[in-house]
Amino acid sequence: MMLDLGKNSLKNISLRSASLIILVFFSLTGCWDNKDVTEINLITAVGVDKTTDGRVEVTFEIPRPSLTRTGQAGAGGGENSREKAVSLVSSKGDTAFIAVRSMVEKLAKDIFPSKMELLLIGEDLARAGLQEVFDLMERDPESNMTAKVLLVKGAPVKQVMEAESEQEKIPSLHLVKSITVNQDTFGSSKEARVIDILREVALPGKDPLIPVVEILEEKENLKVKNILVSGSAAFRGDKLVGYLTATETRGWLLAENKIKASVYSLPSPNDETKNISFEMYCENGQKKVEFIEGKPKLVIKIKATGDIGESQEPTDLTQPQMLKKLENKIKQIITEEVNSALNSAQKYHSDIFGFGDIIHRKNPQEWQKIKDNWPEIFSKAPTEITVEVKLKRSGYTRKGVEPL
Amino acid sequence: MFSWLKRKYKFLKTMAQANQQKNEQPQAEKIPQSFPELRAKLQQVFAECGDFKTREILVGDEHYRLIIAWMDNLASNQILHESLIRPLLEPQAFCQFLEDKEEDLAVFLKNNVLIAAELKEVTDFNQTVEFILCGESVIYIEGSSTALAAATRGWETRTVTEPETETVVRGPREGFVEDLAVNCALLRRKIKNPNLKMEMMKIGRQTKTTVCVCYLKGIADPALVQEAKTRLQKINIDAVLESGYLEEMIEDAPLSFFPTVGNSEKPDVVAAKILEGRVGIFCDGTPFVLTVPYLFLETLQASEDYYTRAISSSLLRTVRIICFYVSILLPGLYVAFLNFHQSVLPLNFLLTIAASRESIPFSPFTEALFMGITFEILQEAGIRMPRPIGQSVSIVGALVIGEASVRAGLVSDPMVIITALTAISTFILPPLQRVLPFFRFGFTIAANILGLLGIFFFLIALVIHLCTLRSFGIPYLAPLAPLSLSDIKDTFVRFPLWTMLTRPRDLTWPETGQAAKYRAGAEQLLSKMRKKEDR
Repeated sequence: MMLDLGKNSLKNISLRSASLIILVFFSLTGCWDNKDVTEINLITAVGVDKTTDGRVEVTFEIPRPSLTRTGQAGAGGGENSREKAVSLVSSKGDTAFIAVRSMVEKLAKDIFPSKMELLLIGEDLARAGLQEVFDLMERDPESNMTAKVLLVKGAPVKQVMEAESEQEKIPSLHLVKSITVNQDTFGSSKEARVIDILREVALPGKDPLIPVVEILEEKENLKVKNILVSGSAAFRGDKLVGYLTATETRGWLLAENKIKASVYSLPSPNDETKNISFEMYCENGQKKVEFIEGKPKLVIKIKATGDIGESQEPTDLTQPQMLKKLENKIKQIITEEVNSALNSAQKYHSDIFGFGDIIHRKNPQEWQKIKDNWPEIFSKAPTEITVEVKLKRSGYTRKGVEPL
Repeated sequence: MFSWLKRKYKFLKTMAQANQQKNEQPQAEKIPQSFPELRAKLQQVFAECGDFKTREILVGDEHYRLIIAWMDNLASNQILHESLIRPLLEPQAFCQFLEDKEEDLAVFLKNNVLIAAELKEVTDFNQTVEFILCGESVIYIEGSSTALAAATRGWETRTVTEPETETVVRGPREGFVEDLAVNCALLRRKIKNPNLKMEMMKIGRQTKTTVCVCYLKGIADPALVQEAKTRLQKINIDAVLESGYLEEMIEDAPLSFFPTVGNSEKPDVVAAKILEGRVGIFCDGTPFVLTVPYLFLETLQASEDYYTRAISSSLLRTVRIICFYVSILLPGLYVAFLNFHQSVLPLNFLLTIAASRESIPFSPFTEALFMGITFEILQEAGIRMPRPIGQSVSIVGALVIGEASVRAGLVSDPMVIITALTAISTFILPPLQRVLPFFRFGFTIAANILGLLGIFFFLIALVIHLCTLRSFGIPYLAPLAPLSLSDIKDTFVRFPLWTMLTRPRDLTWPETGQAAKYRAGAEQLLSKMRKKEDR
């Protein structure tokens, strides 16, 4: 049909112009971001620190694909060759961007930060303010905004990054996974993503809380098991103001309703030398702000149910009276945890719970009045913490086996 | 390039027309009554034809002279002997005729003597020649301008066997053979209905191949049947050696990658299509029977879908659709993800691929092209080579090219997996097997230029092209585009047979008139285009 058409027919012209447009389209776009995986350095973790002379030091963790490969012994017995699966490269510059870009002086291939899983921040930098690093991440289209953030306490960032893992070929993945599992099942650490922190920094009524990693024991060949991810750091705006302990972090997680299960232990009511431990789950935390005579009151309500997980002495723990006693004790522990977290936050003038944000949403008029000196108001606001505890099950047995 | 093609086409077309005028059917010619003349004529026509046989016999007390002419091995010697020569030489055969002498000898022979199943009186000499070439025996009678053609066809044919192209686990195993008569019988055995019409015609200036247009009257759209016949009648070529010749001459979109004429080697498949209102075109000399119209969804259907239970065949349909996409898209997607969208892949996956590609000197695109071409070579070699050396191809292919190229670090492991997966997916769709590689390469190139954007660009172009195609007036993507809800029952999911209460609306007539609507649309479009041309 096409061949039959006359020379000047409409269809012929449109065909020609269409093919011309397509040709031009293809030649113009070129292959500008056509990069083979073998021509890029995947970056799994980035460490940022401030040097003593005020410059920014950036450290990249670059995995070497052939050594990270599992299930196949590399040539010459990969495990025994003691070759590290990742290499660390660091560079200094006046800004983070300069430091990152000047990294190419030391690398053979282009850097590719999109698969970055972990961002480690040095204590000095955190005290000076996160903004200078996070601005780069926000602007760069290739950065991974869902990377997890960790604050390195009391050590250079590079030292923590040098720790080797025995379970993961890439140490940063070990840390990332352990943070998530920890938040879900234990609660001594919390998860923070770059994008969450950016949002919290920007919100006037909420401040970021970032998990903390510290070195347990100084060693020659540092392993991940020698460093501890526990506790968290409270910020005001983008600046570090103080630390929360592991239990305080758990208190915060309970109030934020971000924990799936946690474990508590307390001395047995029958025998003070023996302990009973519980696993609490279905923890339901609610935050509210009540206004009493125009003054905000911070209210946290927590509902928790749980099981008896372990008992060191063989009493029947399922008696109603006994349960009541245990429930009260757990209630005290949880209240204490949440209370101390809230107290620390008030002490640091850091609204990590986001009470300001709650006021902003529920009472926008009130918020307009108090938002300018919210940190002061927050730190002096009265608090109320109510905890409900219900023990439901005792596992497979009611009573432990009594030794003869 | 298009204008060159156009000029070439026009030139060839005028040439062909001139040729056609030259090759008009020869005029009818009388059969010579005198035998020396006849003999000379036969000798002239069949000069240097070693397989042409004649026998002269005297019958009726040596009063009458007959010539029996036939082609050796086309006409069965046994039938010739039993039904023609023996009765003719029977001493008592002509008693009655000799007594009466009123009847014409030809009529007498036909009515009283010869015992062949089919006897025709012929008066045209050229027609007798044609009969001889078709395997019939012609009896010329001295002094008479009428000859008798007796059906003595009896050449060697292949027995009905299971076709190798369309094997089934469940379903009839018989397949068509090279003989048209056998093929027609195979179909007639499936549809015992006088409405199953078989119209014969001869195509091919030199070969005079018999072609049979087959349809079910009352179900097939008469306009469709007429269109098929018209297209076949317009064919003017020297030879039709296979139905592929016909296919190429009657298809709607000869420049498209997609087939608009279907073919099958199995009587049950053709019967099913004819029962849906399609037209079958049998061609003598090949077991492949054409069916028109041929729609895209038929490439995803298999005869076995209807013989196994609905649930399992629906699952297989889904698998075939996935395979269609896998076989055209997979290498392209691999190239796009590895070259443009690394950040979409999970870290561990990316590391694994990066590790296996670390020492490969070529880009994923080069690899994909290399492996794609290698596979095409292996496949072609597998089909063309003689059976006994079949093993060497698999050894060379699998070991030398697959294993060694990976060992040598020329091709990465994931690329080998992708090539294998693509290849296997292609085998699942036999009608498109020769088509899919084009799209595979196209998608790979598009992916290397623009990444996923290129792939979608190409995919949209492909869908637009599919939407513009028509097969004998029926939109190629029917019943999906235009959507016909009642026909969805036999597309992605095969509904149980007891829910299939209506015939396909796209094809059949006069149930709905949907086909008429399509045709009207097509005609409108055509007239519009013609108007544009005129301007």
